Amino acid sequence: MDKTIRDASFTTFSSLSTSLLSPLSLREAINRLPSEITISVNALRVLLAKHRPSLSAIAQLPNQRIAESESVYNGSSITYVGCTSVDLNMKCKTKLQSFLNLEPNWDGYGAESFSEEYIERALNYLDQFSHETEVFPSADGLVKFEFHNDNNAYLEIEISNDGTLEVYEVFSDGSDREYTEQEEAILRIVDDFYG
Amino acid sequence: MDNHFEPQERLFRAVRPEYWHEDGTLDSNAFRWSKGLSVDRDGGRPYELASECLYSRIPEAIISVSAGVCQENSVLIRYLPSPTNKYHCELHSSETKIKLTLKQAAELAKRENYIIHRYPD
Repeated sequence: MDKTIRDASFTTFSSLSTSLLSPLSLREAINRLPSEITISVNALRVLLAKHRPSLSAIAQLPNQRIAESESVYNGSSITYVGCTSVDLNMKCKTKLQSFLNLEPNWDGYGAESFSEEYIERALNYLDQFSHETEVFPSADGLVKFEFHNDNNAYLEIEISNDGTLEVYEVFSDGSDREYTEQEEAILRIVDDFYG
Repeated sequence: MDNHFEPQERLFRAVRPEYWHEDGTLDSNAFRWSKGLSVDRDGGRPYELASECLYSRIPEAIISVSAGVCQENSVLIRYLPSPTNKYHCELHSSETKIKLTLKQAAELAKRENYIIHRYPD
């Protein structure tokens, strides 16, 4: 039986994730589900992390198309797990790449251009974010990611060139906080923001 | 003109399309630069004239914030006239730090805190 996993708003992941303790339970879990299930990028990442050793044919990133994985399910009723994933941040990725076209003084006041290495780093994070984001350039040749949730809270993260992050978070009650963090913490900060 | 700014004096800045949100609001990055964010003070000129003078040099959308909003958010306004622009000022985060913090920039970028004199094309 073919099953398709899509990334999108996901509502039943908690029941699925608790079942995904082994390839066998994965098979059983998928068998219980409709032919097409809906799964968030983050949930899919958890799924892949749990099963990566056996699901080696699956692509590394949750927002990439997942390749056929027959060998994993050899002998089972599942012959193929595919992903028609829609990249949540595809538009943002295109925008981020376009920053490389900004020449020195692109803002009319002497703004700096963007280095390929820096944009590559930012793109890498974009691939790993579990939620949709917006990205904006700064005159320093840096980018800032913005995240919004349904409670009118928002999060801004600027990646510096020295491996640190500048973070500004506004909570739903209007209070806020500003802090710096090491760059490695970026995914945790975003995940924490969405609880 | 000197380093004194009345709260109602306006500070003008040309803003590239990259700094606008899809909903037509301004992104706070429009107010951040580690070398000092250049603005033109009105210096007693009518706002339209100040806006048009800036537009003639940098033909982008033109916005302004009041000196008062800057002062309320501890943003330092430095009057730094140049030979070609006697209205030139810079916004600094403080006496010791140039680049505005994310919070300071976010406050200036609140919709109620800036006026759009020329809209983006």
